[in-house]
Amino acid sequence: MMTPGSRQERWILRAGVLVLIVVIWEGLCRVGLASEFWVSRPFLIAARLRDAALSSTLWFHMGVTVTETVFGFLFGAMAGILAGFALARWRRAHVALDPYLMGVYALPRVALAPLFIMWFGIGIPSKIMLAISIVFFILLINTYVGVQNVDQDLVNAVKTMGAPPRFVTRRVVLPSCVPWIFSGLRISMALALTASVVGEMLAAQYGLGFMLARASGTFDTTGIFMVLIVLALLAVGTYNLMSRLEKRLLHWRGDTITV
Amino acid sequence: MPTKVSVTNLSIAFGATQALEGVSLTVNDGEFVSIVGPSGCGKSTMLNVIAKLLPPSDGSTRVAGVEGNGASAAKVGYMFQKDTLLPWATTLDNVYLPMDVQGVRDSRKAGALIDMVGLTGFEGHFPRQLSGGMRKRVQLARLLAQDPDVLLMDEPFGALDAQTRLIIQEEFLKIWERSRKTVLFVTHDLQEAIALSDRVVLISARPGRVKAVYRVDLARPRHVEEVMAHPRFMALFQEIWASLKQEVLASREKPQ
Repeated sequence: MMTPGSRQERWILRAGVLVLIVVIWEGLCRVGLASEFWVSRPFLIAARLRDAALSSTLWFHMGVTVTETVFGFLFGAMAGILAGFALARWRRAHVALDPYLMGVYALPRVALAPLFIMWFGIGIPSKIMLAISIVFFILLINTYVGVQNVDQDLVNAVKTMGAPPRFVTRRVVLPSCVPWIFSGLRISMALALTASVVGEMLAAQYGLGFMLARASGTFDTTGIFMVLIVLALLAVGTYNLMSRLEKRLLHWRGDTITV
Repeated sequence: MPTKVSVTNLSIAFGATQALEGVSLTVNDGEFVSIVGPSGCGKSTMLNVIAKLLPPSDGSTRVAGVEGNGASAAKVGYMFQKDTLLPWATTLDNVYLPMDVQGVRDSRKAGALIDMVGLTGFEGHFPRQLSGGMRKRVQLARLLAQDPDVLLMDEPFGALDAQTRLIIQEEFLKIWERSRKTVLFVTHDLQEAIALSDRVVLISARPGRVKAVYRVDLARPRHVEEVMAHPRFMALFQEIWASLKQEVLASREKPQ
């Protein structure tokens, strides 16, 4: 017996949606209501995906994109978290830098891509820089807000036990920032991938973004859809990884918010 | 009997609002003193000054003979009305917290305290997994784990439902009568104040001054339910309430 919303039922419903989309898409092309040239066809895409997966090119391009994303994410997150704590710690620095940080934060960061490509070339470094420029600010702001939102009553309670400031930081401030940092990390992961792909589309010789640009340049719709599917799988995979990590680190909160 | 806590001519103002004015009071070693008064009379503020979370506007406070700032805060244990357990720490880790501050974890003592408040078997639970009453018990165990000379308690049982409160009061009284720590207890529950205390200090409507001090001459050990039925309890209740009621009414006439 399937209970409503059970694991089994969920997956059956979801698989049903996939089948429905594939059937309609494929069917429309077969009966001539849609043009293969513009929208390709599920079976063509699947065949291309299989060929690409069997050859090394897809893995190579994917490896480049993943490398850029991971390094951009890690460096940007570490720097952002440290900067967030530093700004929360040194009030004066925050007062002085706030408008400039907000200015850069408000700027669509992909607009920096041409500059980074000029400075760091068309290889991996410029994409990493682009990803860092996005991830850094998200973590900076989330960490800063996290520190500001520490429950002052908890701080006072621990202070009255005679705890020195360092103890309060380690045992109260840091743990209470973790949920804020995590929500920043979750968004950042997806945006780091976006930054890498956008950077590759602008100027690169490798990477999934490069594959997209190349396929588009040769009117290869099937190629575009294949890369899109790979990107979607990649994004979902990293998102799940983050959620799992979050659940483990934040199990004291019970149900974490998953969107 | 040596004085454990002394408050001398304490005044506290927040901007133009005078919260406390010229309050003096002493708590002797091993004495249980309650402070009652209308809402907003500065009772909690006074505890915050004694705990050195706030500076006084005028006057001074001393705990165990050490004046003002720079006193070893570890001597003062503070239990807030609000739940101040660390939500990411288990029962055991919360009880360990004051020991960690002091740099010595005593697992046997922690176990004994958890047992004393009746939470054996809940060592690994997080606060969100515990009921309000259980969280209060963890706070009590944590407070005692700190082993302070003086307990400052700010409406510690105020947020509990009436039944749970009665049970916790009874348990707390039993624990206290064994340890006989010095307690300064803020509450707006006059019954609670009389049932637990050696003395009840009545603070007036804002600006808060000491209006009267009542000695609770009921024998110990006490049981909360029995004490509340005692004729002497009722006489005290009526006497203090008559005076407290005036202050409550006076405070309602003033703008907040």
